[in-house]
Amino acid sequence: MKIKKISIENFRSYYRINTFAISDGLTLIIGANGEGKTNFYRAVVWFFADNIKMGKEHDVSRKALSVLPEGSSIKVCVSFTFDHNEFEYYVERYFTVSRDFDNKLIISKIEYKANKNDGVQCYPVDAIRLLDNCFNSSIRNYSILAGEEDLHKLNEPDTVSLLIRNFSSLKSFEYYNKFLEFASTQSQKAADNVASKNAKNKKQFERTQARIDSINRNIAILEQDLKDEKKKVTDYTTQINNLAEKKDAIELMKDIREKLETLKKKRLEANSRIRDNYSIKLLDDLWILCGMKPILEKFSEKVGKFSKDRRKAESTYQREQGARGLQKLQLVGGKAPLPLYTPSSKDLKEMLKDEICKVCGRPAPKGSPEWHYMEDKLNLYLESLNIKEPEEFFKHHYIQELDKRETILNNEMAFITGLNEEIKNVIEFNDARKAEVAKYDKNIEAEEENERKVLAQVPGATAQTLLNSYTNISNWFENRSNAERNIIRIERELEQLNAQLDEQNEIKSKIAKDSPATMYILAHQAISRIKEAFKNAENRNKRDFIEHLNAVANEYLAKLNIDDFKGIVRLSEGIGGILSIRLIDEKGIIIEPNKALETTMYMSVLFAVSQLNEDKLGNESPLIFDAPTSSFTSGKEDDFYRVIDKVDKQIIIVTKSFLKDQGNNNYILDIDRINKLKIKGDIYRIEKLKPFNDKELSTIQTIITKIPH
Amino acid sequence: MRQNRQMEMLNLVLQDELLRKNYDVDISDISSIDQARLCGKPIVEAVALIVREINDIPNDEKKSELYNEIFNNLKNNLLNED
Repeated sequence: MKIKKISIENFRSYYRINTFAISDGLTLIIGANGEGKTNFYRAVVWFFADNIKMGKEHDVSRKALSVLPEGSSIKVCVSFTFDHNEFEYYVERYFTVSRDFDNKLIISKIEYKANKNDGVQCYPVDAIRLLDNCFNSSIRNYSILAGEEDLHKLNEPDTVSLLIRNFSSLKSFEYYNKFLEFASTQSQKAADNVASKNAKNKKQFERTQARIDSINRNIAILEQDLKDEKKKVTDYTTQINNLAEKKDAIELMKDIREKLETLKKKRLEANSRIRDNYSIKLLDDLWILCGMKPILEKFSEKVGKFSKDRRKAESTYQREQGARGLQKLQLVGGKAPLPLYTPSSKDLKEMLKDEICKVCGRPAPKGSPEWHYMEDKLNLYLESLNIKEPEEFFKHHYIQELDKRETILNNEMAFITGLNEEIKNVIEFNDARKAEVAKYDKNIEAEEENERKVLAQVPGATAQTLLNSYTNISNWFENRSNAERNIIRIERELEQLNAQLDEQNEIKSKIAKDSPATMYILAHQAISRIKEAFKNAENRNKRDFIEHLNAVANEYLAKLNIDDFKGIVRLSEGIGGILSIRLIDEKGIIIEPNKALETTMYMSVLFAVSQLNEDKLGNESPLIFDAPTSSFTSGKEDDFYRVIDKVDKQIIIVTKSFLKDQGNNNYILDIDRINKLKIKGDIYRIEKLKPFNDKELSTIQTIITKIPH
Repeated sequence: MRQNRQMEMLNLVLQDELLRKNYDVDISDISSIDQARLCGKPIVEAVALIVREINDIPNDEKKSELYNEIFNNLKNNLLNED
């Protein structure tokens, strides 16, 4: 099949008819994410999916549906025009969608229509048979691939048998082996039957036969064990391969989980330092007093006034009373004196000794008026302690009590003043911790979103299953190695048993020699040897096929990695029919390729498979890849496309390379880079028609533009 | 095409070391399966018959018929080989 055109009509984001003319060699279809690349790939896959019988609404262009009036219908169609065996064919796969007068959508079943153009006229042909002849499902499995991960299809079990069945001229030995198994059993029975009837050496024959039967029973047990161990190897290999496909996802998940654990721990720590139980602090830590300073000042002022007035009144009273020696409340310059106990006697004694008033800071040398004033005050205070108090002017001491309270409270002023600062610090601290917690919450949410994105790439997996896989993998490797060792051991034992069997059969033959049984025994021996010869032929055929595939793959690998390290592809059959694909160097040492080299390694095998299809079955077939170079650097990509362009195969590649990001999801073609490629094939740009509403699917339409270069 | 594949199969089987060691399996002057079937060498004839007949799933009757033909031919002619 050599495709000439692909048309997509009203399928997903492709509104109305959109046609790609396909080059004989490389065709590039370039689009950013969400612009229609995957829908192109889906259209191709849908075209060949003859197992799907009914049209589906989600495959219909939303834009087409939005403009479909009642009582009308549209066609949803993907068609290929191609050459095959020197004739041109047109095949379309389609269904119709109608909107009835109740606004209900009616979707038809899917149909194929195919025409052959022999240059003179067009006439209809059977589409399914035609597609099966020119591009059957086996080759399609290795020719239409979505992304780099799809390349690992080659690692699936039974790949070797599948490839041989489809691309080797000697397809299957299954029926030969079955027949020869039957023939060998029958001939054995016939020989034994005749030999056992021969009276001469009957006992010896029977003993030999008993030994043969015992050996055969042991062989049967070992063969079952061998089968079980091979299945284990296949199963563990499949699990490991599945894991390999998920390797990136698992590593990401592990990384995300570690980050989440750290973030949650830090969040907990930050949160635990928050102390915002302000209602408790109000009373327990006396925050309620933070506003007290002006009240306290007012209180001090009032108490001061009351005290002053009281002392003035008392002093006047006492003067009027003419109290002897109790001139403790002398007016000072006509103003109310301080109380007797202010300053204290201790302070007065100190000031007298130091000859300085420590209240106002003025010197009071001994003998000066200031010094005598202080001395009189001290003497008055001391006298007051000794003399009986005369009747007091004020019966109660409320104001003195207030005075004392005021003094105490004033001493607390520093604490109250400090409260505001403390409250500010505590609130700031808590706010900072809360901001920290909010930041951790944001980071945790981002990591959880990353976790969701990783899981979206691995349908059916949970975070725990991915992480369990990571922890299980070393067990799987170990169990597989154990199974492989067991296989070697069992095969050795089988070899020994088969040698013993041959020996006993030889003895049996000798016993029956020169008897009527001889001919039967010879015939049976011949059939057994023919049976073995067919088995060996099957293995040789498989080896030759793999060698041939290997050689062709290496030719392609050399082309794909020109001027770069490439290694040598080494194909072999693994247990369970897995096609083992390795890269080795000249010395036979296995190389662990980077992603880009791994991709070219797999692609070279796929090209080789496609080549075999052409050589053995005479069918050319295209290769259609969706994003095969996502792991390549741009330089490596350019080389890759230049080389692919020269490979004599029809290849369609859908890619998001060769675009420049203008910001805000706005991409333009990197024309310079495309021109430098100098490829012969056609290049298309697919993108969403603007403007569109990113929340309304019916405004989304992919448009295609052929790029001149 | 089918003849080519059959000859390819015949050649592949008769390359077997054990067969070559024990029997005369030289087919250098044989160019078709039908020729091989009548070449007079019991093992070659047996393999040619198997290759020619086993293309489809043999039913039990056909299987037994084929077996009998091969077995009897071998039984009657192998003594001469030895």
